[in-house]
Amino acid sequence: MKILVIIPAYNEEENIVNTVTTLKEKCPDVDYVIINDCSTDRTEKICEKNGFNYISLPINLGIGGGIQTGYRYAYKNGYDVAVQFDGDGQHNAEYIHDLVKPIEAGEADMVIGSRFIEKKGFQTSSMRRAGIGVLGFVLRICGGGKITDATSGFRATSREVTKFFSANYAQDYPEPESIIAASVSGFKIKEVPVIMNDRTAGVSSISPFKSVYYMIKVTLAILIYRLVGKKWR
Amino acid sequence: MMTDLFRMILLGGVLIYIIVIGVLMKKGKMNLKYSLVWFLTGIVLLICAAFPGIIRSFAKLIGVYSEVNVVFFLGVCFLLIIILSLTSIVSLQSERIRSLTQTQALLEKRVRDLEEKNEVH
Repeated sequence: MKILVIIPAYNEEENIVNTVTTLKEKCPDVDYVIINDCSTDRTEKICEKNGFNYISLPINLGIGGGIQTGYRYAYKNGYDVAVQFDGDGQHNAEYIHDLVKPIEAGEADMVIGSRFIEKKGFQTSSMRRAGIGVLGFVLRICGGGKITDATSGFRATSREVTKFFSANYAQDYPEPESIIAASVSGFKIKEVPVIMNDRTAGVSSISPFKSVYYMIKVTLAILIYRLVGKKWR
Repeated sequence: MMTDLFRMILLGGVLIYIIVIGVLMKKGKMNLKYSLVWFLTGIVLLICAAFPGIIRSFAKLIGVYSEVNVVFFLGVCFLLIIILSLTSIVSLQSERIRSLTQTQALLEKRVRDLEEKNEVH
C-alpha cells in the first residue's frame, strides 16, 4: 500500500520541522507532502532548506483548497491511501497506521481519527466540544452516520475517495462538509480513536468570535448538501 | 399616471445607459455574454418610457395603482437578476482560479523535482 501523508501548512515555521521529523521517525514507510498555502512567514524557506517534499501554492486558497491540492497530488501519483495530517503538532504520527488499517481491510472508504471515542489526550474546550456534538447530531440526522469528531482534520481516504475529493472538495470549513459529501456519495465512513495534543506553537485558525458564525454556516452547508448534493459514482 | 417630465427623464436616462453599455462593449471592457441582461433591462425601461399605454395596462393586470411603481418594480426585478448572475459568475471564476492555482503549484513541484533529478545526473 502506497501511503501519502498530506500536511497542510499555513505559517507553520515553528512547527513544521518538528512535525516532519517526528513523522519520518515514527512512520518511515510512508511518503509525505507539505502543502504550503502561500505562507507569509519562512515556512517555504524552511521546507526548501531541509529538503522536504513540498508544494507551494501561489495564492492563499485556505484549508480546503490546500488539502484538495494534496488529494490531487496523491491521486496523480498513484497513492492508495491519502492521510490528512495537520502541520501544527496536534496530530500524533503513531496513529497513522490505525487510520489506514480499516481502508486496507476494505472496511471503510474514509477513516476519521476521533479524540472523543476514548476521551484521552487533549479534549479542547467545553464550548468547542458542544459545537462538535451539535455538528455530529446534524450529520447523523442527515445520514452521515455516527460521527463523534466532525471537525477532526486527522483522516485517511481510499483511492476512490481521494479521486472524489480531487474533483470536488468543500472550501471554507471543509472537515464536516466533506463527511456529508462522502456519505451522500455512498462511501463508508468509520471513526477510530486517536489521542491529540494541544498546539505546541502558533495560533489556531478558528477564533472564538467566528465560532457561532462557523456553526451556522457549517450546519447550513450540511443541510444544503444533503438536499441538493448529487451522488458522485 | 406617469408625468411627461418623468417620461422624459426616464427616456434620457435609459438612452445614456444603453450608450454606455455600447461603448463598454466596443472598447472590449464588457463581454457580450454578460451585457445581454443589461441590454434587456434597458430595452424594457425604454419601452416603459416610450409607450406608457403598455405600462398602464400592465399595472392594471398585476394590481398596482401607480404606473411609476411598476417601472420601479421592474427595475428592482432586473437588478436582482443581474446581481444573482454576478454571484454565479463570481462563484464560477473562483472555482476556476482555485483549480488553476492548484494545477500551477503541482506543475511547479514537478519542474522542481525534474530539475533536481537533472542536477544529480
